[in-house]
Amino acid sequence: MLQTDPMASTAGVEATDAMLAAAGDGRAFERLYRMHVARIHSLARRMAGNDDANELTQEIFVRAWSKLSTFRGESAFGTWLYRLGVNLILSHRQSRTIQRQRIDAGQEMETLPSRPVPTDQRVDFEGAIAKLPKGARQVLVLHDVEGYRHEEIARMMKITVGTSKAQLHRARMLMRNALKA
Amino acid sequence: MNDRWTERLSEYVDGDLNERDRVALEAHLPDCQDCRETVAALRELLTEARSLPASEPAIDLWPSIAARIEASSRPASMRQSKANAWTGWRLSLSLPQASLAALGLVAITAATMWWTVGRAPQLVTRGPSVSGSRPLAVGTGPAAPSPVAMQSNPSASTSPGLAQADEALAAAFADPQYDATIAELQGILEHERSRLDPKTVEVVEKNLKIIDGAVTDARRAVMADPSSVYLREHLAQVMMQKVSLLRQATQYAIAG
Repeated sequence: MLQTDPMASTAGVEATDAMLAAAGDGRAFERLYRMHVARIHSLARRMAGNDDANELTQEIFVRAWSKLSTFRGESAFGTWLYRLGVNLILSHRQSRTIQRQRIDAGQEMETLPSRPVPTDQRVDFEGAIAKLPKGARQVLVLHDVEGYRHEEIARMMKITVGTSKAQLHRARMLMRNALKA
Repeated sequence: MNDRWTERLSEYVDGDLNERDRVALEAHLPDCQDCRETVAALRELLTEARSLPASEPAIDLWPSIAARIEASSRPASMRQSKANAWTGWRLSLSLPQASLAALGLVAITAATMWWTVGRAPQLVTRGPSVSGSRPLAVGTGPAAPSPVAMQSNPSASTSPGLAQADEALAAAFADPQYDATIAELQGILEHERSRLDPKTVEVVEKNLKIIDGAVTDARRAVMADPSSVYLREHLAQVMMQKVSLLRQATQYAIAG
């Protein structure tokens, strides 16, 4: 009987959908969206905060669609997409600041409260990540959650490897203190 | 307590220390309780971080993404094949989600129409101005200028081109599609209001007031200088912000 590896099968489906989407198949792109939206949204929420996560997630997929012609299949589509997402999130802060300045003439709108979430240890962990200083938070999410190496993080964030390591250690120690409190 | 190893414990946990330093640290650990505890805590932290689950957004973002993609500028040949590809897309949404998504799509499509039409050179009816463009209107904000008010504008001379341009501008301010979108979202929100946290209601109302004020200012600015791309973009942004806020609040209410 013919045995199939489920992981290989998933990768094959993803690669096929990426090719179809690059050729203009919207339904294939929707399948890719469904496959990756949770991880992309979680990445955006952890790196940029809850308020901007939806907007960033949309932006990442819109950008991915427009750049599909540059995806050559040398890496998995997910790897390519996450890299694109990380770069977009890292460049997000500046454009966000400009946008807010244009919209608001002196009045600061309040942020809607976050949706109620269960208060278990995992939420404490997520909450502690959200409270980290921006640079330390981004390094921690990229390294400890997403599994990027310091060399990759340094390239993406335009910092040195030493700075990336120092930020990671700082983030972890802050997390440790926050979770102990 | 800090010692020479404190700042390097993360590197140790990650396996990034060179061989010599690793051996030296492992010789130090049995004598240093602080370092041992920190290493244990860092390992626990790393395990927790690596096991964090990915979670879906609270609302389905696909309808908005699909609308933006469909409207995105592509080479003509590609645009044709994309347009065909969108036909027959299947969305798995609940009824309330579907109606919200539809409302969002209407608004986004309307905004896109405005941009497309506003930038089309053949619609320019006087000089370099793009006053034949179609800015959108927000129905629940301060009253939109009526065609009568527009016609009383001194700039609306007897020139057929100018009259045509101002009529288009006036008609655009009374865009019924956008008004209907806002009205319907507000209707849903009003109906589901009791399911929202009072603090959320308070924030939504405060923000709507601010947006309405910004819309009024932006609309006045566009009327004074209809050819300004910046001002029209600004107006579109604040109006879309209102749709976005109402959609978010409505989603919260429906989700309970």
